[in-house]
Amino acid sequence: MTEVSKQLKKGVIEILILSLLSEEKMYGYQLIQELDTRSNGVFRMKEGTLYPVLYRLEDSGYIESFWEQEPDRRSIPRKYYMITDEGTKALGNMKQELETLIYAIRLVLDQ
Amino acid sequence: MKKINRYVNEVLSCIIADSKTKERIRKDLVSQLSEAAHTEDIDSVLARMGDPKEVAREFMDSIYENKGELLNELLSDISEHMKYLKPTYEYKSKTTIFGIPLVHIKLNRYGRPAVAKGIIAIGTVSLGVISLGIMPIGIISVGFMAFGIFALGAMALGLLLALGGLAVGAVAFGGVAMGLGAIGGVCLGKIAIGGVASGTVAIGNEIDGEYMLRISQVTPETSAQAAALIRAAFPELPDWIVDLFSGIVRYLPGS
Repeated sequence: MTEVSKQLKKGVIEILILSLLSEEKMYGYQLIQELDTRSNGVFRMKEGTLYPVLYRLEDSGYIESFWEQEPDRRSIPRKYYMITDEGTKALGNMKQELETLIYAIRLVLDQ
Repeated sequence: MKKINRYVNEVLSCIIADSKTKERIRKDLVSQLSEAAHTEDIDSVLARMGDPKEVAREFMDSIYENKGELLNELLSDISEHMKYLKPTYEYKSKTTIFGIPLVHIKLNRYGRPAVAKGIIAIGTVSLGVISLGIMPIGIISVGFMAFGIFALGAMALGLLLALGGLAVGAVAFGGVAMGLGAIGGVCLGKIAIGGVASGTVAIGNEIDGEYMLRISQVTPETSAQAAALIRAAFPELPDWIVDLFSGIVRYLPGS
């Protein structure tokens, strides 16, 4: 993966995570799998990349986390992340900004 | 779970961050690895995750995003620091006896069993004439689960003498003691002396045996009574052994 590609991905990862969490609460492993599957492997994230992003979003108040033990599971509880109202608003703004950005990039590239 | 905790500890040892962030990472990684281990063999999961140092590096890259200079500074500091925090600490004395080091110390920071072998051996598992550790094995063994000719530990198995919470030996002293001679809170042996004693000779408060001496109060005669009882049960027993056991009786608390 080129450095440009890395930087581009970093730029949109927060939006993608917020978008997934706007659908339903998810745990870390699930987020990694969903991103991988839905992006056809383009966003195959490593733990070291995903979790710090989650921490930043949580510290910004865009998402919240909680632990839940599912009754039919033997192992330790899962840590779920869910979007907050503030996060939903931020996601809307981010999407608009991204669309503007993509539009502007296309304008330049298509010239 | 042990493999997961060990792996996560190794990752965390290479991350410089505040304790809150480290705790977050610990919980998330343990949770994620446990999740993955449900559907896949844990060794494969860990192999896929890769070198803990690399995982730590990714975390650091993301945590200190846009703070490259600070990150490099911190990494240089930690590399220096890590020299003194090797996963395994080992000391082997140059002096040897029959090719065996006089002193061998081997300890591991991440809970992997470290085996020390020496005349004096100190390690998670230690083999030596004098052994200390979690599981020492030797002539004189001191540790959590000690095996030896003379063993002292929370659990002690001594061929001649065992002292411990749970002691098993020819002569055993302990909370729960089992042996030819057993002395303790609850004891079982040929000669059993203690609070609850069961044996051929049983001396104590609650007793069960062939030759029994119930002690409600220790008097100057108690020792002599115990000696007579032991001699009656084991007439061949040398006097010094009889004296040893009967001598202990005077220290028993009365009921």
